[in-house]
Amino acid sequence: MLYIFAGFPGKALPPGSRHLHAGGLRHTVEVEHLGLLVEDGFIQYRKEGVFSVTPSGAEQLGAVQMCFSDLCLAAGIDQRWFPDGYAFGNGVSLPKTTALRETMVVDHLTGVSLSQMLGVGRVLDLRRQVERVYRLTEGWNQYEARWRPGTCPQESHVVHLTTLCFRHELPQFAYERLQQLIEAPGTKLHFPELYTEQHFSVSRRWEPTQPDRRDLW
Amino acid sequence: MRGGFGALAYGVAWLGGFAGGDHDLLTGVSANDHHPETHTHAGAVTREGGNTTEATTTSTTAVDLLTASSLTIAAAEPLLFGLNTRSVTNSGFFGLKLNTTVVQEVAGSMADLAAATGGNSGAVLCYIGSRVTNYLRSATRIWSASAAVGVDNYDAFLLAADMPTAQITDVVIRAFIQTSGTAGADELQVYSLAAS
Repeated sequence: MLYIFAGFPGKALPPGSRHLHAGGLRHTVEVEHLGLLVEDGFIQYRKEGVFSVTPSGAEQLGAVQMCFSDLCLAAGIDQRWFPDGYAFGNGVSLPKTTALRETMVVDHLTGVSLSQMLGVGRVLDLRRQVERVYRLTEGWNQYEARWRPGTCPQESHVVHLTTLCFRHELPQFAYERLQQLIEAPGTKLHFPELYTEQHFSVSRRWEPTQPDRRDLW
Repeated sequence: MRGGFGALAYGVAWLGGFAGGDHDLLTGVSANDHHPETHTHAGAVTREGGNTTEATTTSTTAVDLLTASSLTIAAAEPLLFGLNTRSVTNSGFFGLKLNTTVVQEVAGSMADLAAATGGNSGAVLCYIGSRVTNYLRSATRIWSASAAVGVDNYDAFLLAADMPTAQITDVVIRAFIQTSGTAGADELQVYSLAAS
């Protein structure tokens, strides 16, 4: 059973804070007895199913059961969001996807781009009004099509997800505990004395170069 | 015609102009841009990354770990990217997928950080040539590690499949770990280079 949550543990914490990375979350599953992770060396969860992968090739073992958190579904991320061939692997993963919206500066009256205006070889009157508009690129169109209609953020953004592959369907308490740890800010660990520095990552301060860019979750 | 150090200095200034952080970063019309014609088409120089947290995995089979999506890089345009990698407790392996094609994984790994006390970290710089007929595996990389390595820079970067000839829209860093460890990657910066 593949569980997919929005964000990652500690996403809302300020820069410099420690948060669990994939190995730390795996440790949490162990010490809090939340379930049995799939960690067989050759098992790979993909969008298309569960595969056994060996150096000589891959064989499909069965279908994959995906469980998306409510926050994922509300944001527009479901099975269709993942491209064909997307690999979830096994165990715990915190994958990250960045999407960049390209912009261009145009004459707001004619729509002619600034580079085209410069290209005609004439002196430009910069008192004319120009504006920045989003450029429709093939890459962006393909990316936007992965989202449920009307849900794709229209500015540059980052999508953080947490995926966990369990052998069995989780009991309610375990699912809610994981949901809290991953999606609810400020959730405390039950046994902090059982963790070491190797279970944590540190959030860094991001100096944005693009004011319209934001993190999703 | 530019050559030698002049070309190098010009190239650094050219990239520097785009990395400088002004708001015209992606439009090819920044104030520092001395050569606007090379940047005016879509994706001439695209910068991704610089986020506040890493992507990590404990998976022992490959995961699509770090993705730069929504790119538009034509087949004729070379592609350059760099990223940071690390592994904790055990060996971490990093591969490459372009769009939906896994071009490199496992054997001849793009980066192979061996197990090391206190973890192992490094960087990868990868150059993907233009994807043109008969040159669909023209890619190379250099990489580093803070401790032991599984393969070194002298080992060939063997691509397992031809690179796609369609526009590249997704650059995906794949990763897996050798039993009971954590592999991490971050700061993926993707640049497509103007070909004309």
